[in-house]
Amino acid sequence: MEALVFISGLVALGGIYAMLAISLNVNGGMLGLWDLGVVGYFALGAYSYTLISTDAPYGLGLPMVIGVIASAVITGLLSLFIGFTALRLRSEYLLITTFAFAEIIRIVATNEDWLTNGNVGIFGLEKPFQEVIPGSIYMVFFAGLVLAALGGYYFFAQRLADSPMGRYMRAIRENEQVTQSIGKEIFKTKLKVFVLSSSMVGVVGCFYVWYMSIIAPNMFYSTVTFTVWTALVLGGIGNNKGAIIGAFVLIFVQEATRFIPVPTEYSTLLAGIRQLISGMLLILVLRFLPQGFIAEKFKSVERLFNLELKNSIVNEPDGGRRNVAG
Amino acid sequence: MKKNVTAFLSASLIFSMLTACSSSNGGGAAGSGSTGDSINVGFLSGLTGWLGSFTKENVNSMILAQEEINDAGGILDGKTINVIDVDTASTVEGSIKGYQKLVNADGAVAAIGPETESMLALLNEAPKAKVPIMSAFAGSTELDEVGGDFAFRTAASDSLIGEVRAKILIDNGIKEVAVMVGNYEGAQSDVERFRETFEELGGKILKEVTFNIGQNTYNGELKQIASVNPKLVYYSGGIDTAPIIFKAAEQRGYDWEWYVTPDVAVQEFIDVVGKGVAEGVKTVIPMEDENNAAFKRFNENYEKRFNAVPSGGYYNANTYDLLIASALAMEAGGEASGSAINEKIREVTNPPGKEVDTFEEGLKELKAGQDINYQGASGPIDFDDHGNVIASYSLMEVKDGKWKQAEFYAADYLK
Repeated sequence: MEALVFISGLVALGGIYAMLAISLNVNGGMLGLWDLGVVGYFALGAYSYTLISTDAPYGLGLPMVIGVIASAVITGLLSLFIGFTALRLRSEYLLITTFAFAEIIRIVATNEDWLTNGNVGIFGLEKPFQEVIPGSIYMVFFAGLVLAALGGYYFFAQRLADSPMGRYMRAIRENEQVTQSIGKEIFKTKLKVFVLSSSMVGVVGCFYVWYMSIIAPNMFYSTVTFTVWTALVLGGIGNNKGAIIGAFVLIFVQEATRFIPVPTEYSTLLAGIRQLISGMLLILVLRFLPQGFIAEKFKSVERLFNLELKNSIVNEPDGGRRNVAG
Repeated sequence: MKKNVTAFLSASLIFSMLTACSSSNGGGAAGSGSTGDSINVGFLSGLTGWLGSFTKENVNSMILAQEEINDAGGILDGKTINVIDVDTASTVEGSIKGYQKLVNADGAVAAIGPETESMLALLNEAPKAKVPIMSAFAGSTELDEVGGDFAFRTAASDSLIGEVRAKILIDNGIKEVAVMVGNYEGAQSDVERFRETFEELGGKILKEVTFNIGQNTYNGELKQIASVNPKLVYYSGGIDTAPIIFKAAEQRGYDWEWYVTPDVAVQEFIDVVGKGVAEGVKTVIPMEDENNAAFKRFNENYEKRFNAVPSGGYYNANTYDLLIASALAMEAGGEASGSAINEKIREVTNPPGKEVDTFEEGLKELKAGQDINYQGASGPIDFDDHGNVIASYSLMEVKDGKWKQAEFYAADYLK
């Protein structure tokens, strides 16, 4: 029983990161936006949910469902503003700008005491159906809830990838000028996808709040963004399955290294080495599986007409490498 | 396609390996909290990250307590204590993951070590899991009235230390100070109560400047402080920022007298800023009298075992006391479990009862059926309803490149 609860805890956290990775895959993977603002939308979603659903004095005390919807709407609105101002920028410039926005959101949460209770944060937050399922078994239920939501995210992202919109997004990623030349609206599409992806991240913020039962600005440092990007790179940029596998492998490897038996005196050393192992894993994957655990796959015209292009790598500008036939 | 298959296989291999690894460990150890020959106790704290500099000495303190208990024959007829260190990377998320591992995979009976935010995050979880969370250094005022059930701390509350610090300054005739405070929970909570008491007692805060961690320079903040021309500046911040600020103040020729938070009362501070700059810096820390027998013995044993002097600002004795008190509580409760600790810890540490100040002595008395009152190395250790202790305090000052006790204030100083 204990083992099940323990694994459930890891599955829940892995699932949360997997949802983040899928959301990031929508704009970072399929559309190719260099977005380092993930933790910002994550924090915004989490705070929106908390401030709306928690009882006074901190929140409005509205039902949880409204909190979840609000987290998507508020994150979407703010990302509309961020996107409108930042999406005219490309690659590294967009990267710096989105990173800055994420920092601003955290700093606001740190300093606006009246709204967020500052550095102390808000603790003892409620979890869905907590009264119905008491005790430590709750974690098993919660892991199931996360997995169900993850299923929804995967289904949605996969449908998006296979849709005309998905092809359109990849076209923008691979060559903006060509896409523009056939009369497509680049900026509008980017903005749409950016807002969609941010809202998806915002909703994951609710799950994170449930998992943590506390919200404080120091939960939203840029390490979250880097973890999600690492998961996506590990799993395979552009592939939704890859995003999920990458996130789970990352979380599980970090935790499994805890079980290396060492005498207490060397535990500090081991703690340092554990992080080294995660780093090594990333380097090894990049060296031997440069496309991640699973490379990006999509329905292509070539395959549709059974053309002899199987396994050919089409080199694209901007260092792109896409396995057309998969 | 072939590549994908390989990738899938390797991923699933890693998965199964990990699952097997954790479940075998989990299954094997799950029961050992109460049935095996050894009792697992977790040390749950940031071995890496910003808490890293604190915890390396805390790990030693845990080892010291563990060895003392085991050398005395263990508890509950020969069961030994086994400390499991779990790194949280100094994050709340890490604490939650780590706590779940301790409870569900290691079958630990207690989690010693979380800092304030992690204590708050685990507050609801601990009574459910029946594994107490116990902190040696979570001083936040937020914890003043929420603990007590599966949550304890031997760290003095910031509200108390803030009051004591204010009273000591006023008693020494200092009526005006400027304050530099870090923009994080620990530092802000520390200053809050100090400010209240200081102003209540007729003192005046000339200026309060908030600074962020990790700035390249603090000249702007120092200039703001200099604008009110204070005699004394109170620095409430971490050991990471202190050297930069103190060196910059020295270079700019500010000759203020400094009071600092307990976090800075460590030898590394003096080593980094240099003897000249550190000389005369003062702090008030919750610490036993240097002449107290238990505290002296703890320091001597620590030095003998690890060839180093334990730092006053790292709450080493507080960590050590938590493990000793937990072991005594389990012995008194007749059961190796978190519930036994939760139920009996007040009984073995609070009056009435025969005062004991070593584990061995306590064990002997408990076996003889006596009521005991453990007197710790960090103070008398009497837990109130909310799991807090009232500490005694020391005024520390840097003299000849070393932190020295300048004055001692007993626990009843505030009364």
